[in-house]
Amino acid sequence: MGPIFNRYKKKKQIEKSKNLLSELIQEEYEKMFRITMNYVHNKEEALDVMQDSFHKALAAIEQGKEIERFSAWFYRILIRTAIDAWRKQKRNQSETLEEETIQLAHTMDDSLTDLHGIIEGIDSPEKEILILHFFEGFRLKEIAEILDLNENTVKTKMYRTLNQLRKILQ
Amino acid sequence: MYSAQKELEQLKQVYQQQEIPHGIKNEMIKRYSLEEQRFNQRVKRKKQVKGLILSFAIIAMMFSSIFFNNQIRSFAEDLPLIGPVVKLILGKTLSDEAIEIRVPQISTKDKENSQTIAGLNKKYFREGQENFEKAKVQYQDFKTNHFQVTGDYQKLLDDPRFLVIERKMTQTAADSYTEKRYDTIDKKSGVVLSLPLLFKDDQYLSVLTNEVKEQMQKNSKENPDQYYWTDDDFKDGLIKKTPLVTKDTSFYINKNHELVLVYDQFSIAPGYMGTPTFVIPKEVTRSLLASPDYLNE
Repeated sequence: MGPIFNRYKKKKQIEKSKNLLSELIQEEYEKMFRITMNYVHNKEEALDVMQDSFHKALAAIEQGKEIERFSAWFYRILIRTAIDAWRKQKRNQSETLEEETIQLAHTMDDSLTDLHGIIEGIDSPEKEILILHFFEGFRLKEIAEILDLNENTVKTKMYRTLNQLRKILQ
Repeated sequence: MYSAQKELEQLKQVYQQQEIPHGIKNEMIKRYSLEEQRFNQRVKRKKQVKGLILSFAIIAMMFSSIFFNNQIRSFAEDLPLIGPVVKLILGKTLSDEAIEIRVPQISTKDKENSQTIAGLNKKYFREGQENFEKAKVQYQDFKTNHFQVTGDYQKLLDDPRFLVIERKMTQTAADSYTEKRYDTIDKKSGVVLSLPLLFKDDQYLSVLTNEVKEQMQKNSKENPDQYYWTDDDFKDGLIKKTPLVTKDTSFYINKNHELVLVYDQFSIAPGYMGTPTFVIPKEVTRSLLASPDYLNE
């Protein structure tokens, strides 16, 4: 009875997690897109990053364990994947990439490009804290979960970064 | 403490009012569905491999079979079997709590001494006994009332040229596992066939391997439910990759006198595929046979 029940429980848990994920995508797809765009700057890359995150999430869901605080768990995966993609992009800086960026500057809103430029200049994890709290409205507690930081650390860094920003904007 | 409150608010506005590309939601859902599909396939494949482990002892994977040995013996220039009626009778039943193995005996009306038949009958008794002992050991290991081993046999073909006897061992625990073995006897020569005997040289190994590969590809393409192990599956190390065709590959001759290759369950495909068989068209075997007209009529 034991092993059969565990198999059933695991199957149910996997169903539950999969549903949570698909619901989260339906409800928060814009948020996910905006967050990703802070790192990769073009739509196709953003879609790839998000697909990669879905893949990683599903692979973890396969373990069949209950995932507490599902939203934070997923955003952690998304942000890690986005940062990885951004680092890769930096490493592969070539002429073609610069061309793309120049083209984008013409198609995208100039002020958005400026904004992305400002965000890019900030180091992690301050960058993530700024994006998640100031721009996307996540609560500090959730950000602490997503970034695996102490809540006080998040608060302190948040204020410091805002100050930095004010200085730049003046 | 710097102010720039207005500028900060502006920045926030630019961010939050950025245009989300048209159709992005559908594209994201599509990407998610793709990953979900890959996930489902992974889960399905893992389940099959897991079933393999739960079904029977790991020993089964270390050796090529748990029940039958792979020895082939053949007596050349034996007495022909044409004419006399060949019957397959129940020689003996070996049974225990969860085990029942029915051992066949070949019986001919003609009481003449056929070394081949005597040899086969001896083999059937011997292997029946060995399988019985092995099954008893496995029963000790599993010790559940869902465990069962049955052994049975049937005559697959008995025409003027060939006699084909199939023996089957089935072990049922969480899932079921079946092993089949065949003896094909050339009635004219009274000889038990083997692949090396059938073919003139080793070329048959590569030609038949290609034929089987082609048929596997065709099957998978026509019906996506048909799945055969790929290199990915062998990579995990749970399933051993073995050559598709060797001199010991199970085979028999069917009623159309075509060569049929048979694979052990789990050896080339997941358990639900059973014991995969491949009928080799005569055009493929013709040029490989030791005597080209051997399978005609």
